[in-house]
Amino acid sequence: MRNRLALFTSMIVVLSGVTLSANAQKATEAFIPIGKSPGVSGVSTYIGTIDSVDVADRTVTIRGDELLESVEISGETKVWLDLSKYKTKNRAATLQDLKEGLRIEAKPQHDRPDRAEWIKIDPGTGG
Amino acid sequence: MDLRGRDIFFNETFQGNGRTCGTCHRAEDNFGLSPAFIATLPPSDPLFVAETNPDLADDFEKPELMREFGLILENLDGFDDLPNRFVLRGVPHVLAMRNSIASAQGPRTGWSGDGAPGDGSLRAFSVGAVIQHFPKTTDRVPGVDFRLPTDDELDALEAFMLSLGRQSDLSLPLALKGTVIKRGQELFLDNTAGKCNACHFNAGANGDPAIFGANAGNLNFDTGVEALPDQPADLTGALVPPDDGFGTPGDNTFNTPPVVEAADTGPFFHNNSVETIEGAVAFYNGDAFNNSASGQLLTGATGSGINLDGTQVVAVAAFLRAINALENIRQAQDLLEQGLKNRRRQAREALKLALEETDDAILVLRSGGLRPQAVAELQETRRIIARAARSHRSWRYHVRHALRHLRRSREQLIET
Repeated sequence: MRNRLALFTSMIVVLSGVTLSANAQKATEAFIPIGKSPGVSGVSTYIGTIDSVDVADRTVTIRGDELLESVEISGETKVWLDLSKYKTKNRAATLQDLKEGLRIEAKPQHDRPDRAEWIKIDPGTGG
Repeated sequence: MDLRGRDIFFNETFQGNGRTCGTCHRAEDNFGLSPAFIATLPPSDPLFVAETNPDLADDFEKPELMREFGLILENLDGFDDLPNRFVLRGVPHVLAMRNSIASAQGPRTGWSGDGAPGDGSLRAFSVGAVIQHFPKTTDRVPGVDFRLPTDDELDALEAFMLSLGRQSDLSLPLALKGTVIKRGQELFLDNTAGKCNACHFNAGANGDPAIFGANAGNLNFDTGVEALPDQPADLTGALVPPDDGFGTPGDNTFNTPPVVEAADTGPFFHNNSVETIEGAVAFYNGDAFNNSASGQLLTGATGSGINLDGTQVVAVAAFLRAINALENIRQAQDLLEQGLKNRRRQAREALKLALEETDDAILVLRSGGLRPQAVAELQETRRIIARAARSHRSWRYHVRHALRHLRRSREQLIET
């Protein structure tokens, strides 16, 4: 019992050395077209068109069917151009690629829903 | 659903390079892939697309390391520098996933628990695998180099994977037979000696709920495998970038696999760095583990690292061999009983797999010098299953006969 207790106490400490976040591996996400990410597209992502971009605040506002949602783009946010519709390899994008009217999908961070974990932009949808 | 999932798993290429899920997760190799099995494959096998498809010749696989060590290339930290940014990992089996991947933080898939895009689920894992391993070119353009699985296909694949292997965890201690095996179980469960059960609770993939909390489930740990000296792939001199585990950048943690299925699914650890089950147990005695984040915390909290002597290493491995053989026997029994419900033609695949499970049980016991009488019964079982497979009229009789011998072999391993 004593040993069990000692181990219990120790493992509480050990837990500080284990991973407590189980975010999915992002790498293959880069190749998945807008609206097709399994289990998240249409469930926990914002899909719509870019309503506005605030470069100073590093935020993008997305106009969905009825709502406007703003998400912050942090240094950790992955931003990709979704070129799959054009049968071209997707590639990394920058803030400059965010233009009003473009189709966009943004996944909020699990623990910070005001911040984007990743963003996908269709560069050919500008009006 | 499972039948559809099975068909997709083994036959669907998703309009890619010819690979299927079953290309790497071979039913005949316990739904994993060992170098010994790779050596039996013809050059035309789609596993070797990097050798046969010029568009995949560079940066898609490392064929020499695949053939010698069973290592598969993964771009877990991104696809923007293919020649230099990759890791090489073994193929984990996909058995017992129903009770191996759930955690309080969500599902943990793949060696580092972060193997899936989307919501990180086992269902989404298939999408990531298609993108990583199935494309015709490394451009990986959906609709050109592969097609994405449909929602229905993902559901079917998930159902099939969840149906494989054990559907529940063991409840240790078991009433095992054999002096060394029993001692191995004691050491496994002893939190002052082997300390194995804390992270491999009931020899599964989850943390001990009394230690980690009722819903902790599967956990990631930095156990220092990457710090092992003389890793086989490194010894070749080939470029083998360090694998930093979970996340980007990684935190050096990897998730805990179940160990019931360990003895016949080596090589061991994420990079196939240890060939034998004895070596895998002995790893926890060494500097790499005891100096790792997890090893240090364990030492600080319990007063010592893990220090098993040679006889104790062998005893823990003997226990793992015994429970693996029991699982082989359970699976062979299931397969034979399934076979009896079918016509001969449909039963053929079940007989083949039952034969392989029986072979695995023989191998894991005999390689450890364990329970010769159980091995003898298994060899007889094997002979009878082979006879059943050849027989047209009396195959059911032979299958029933084989089942009797399987039961006897089980009785040599555990009190019934």
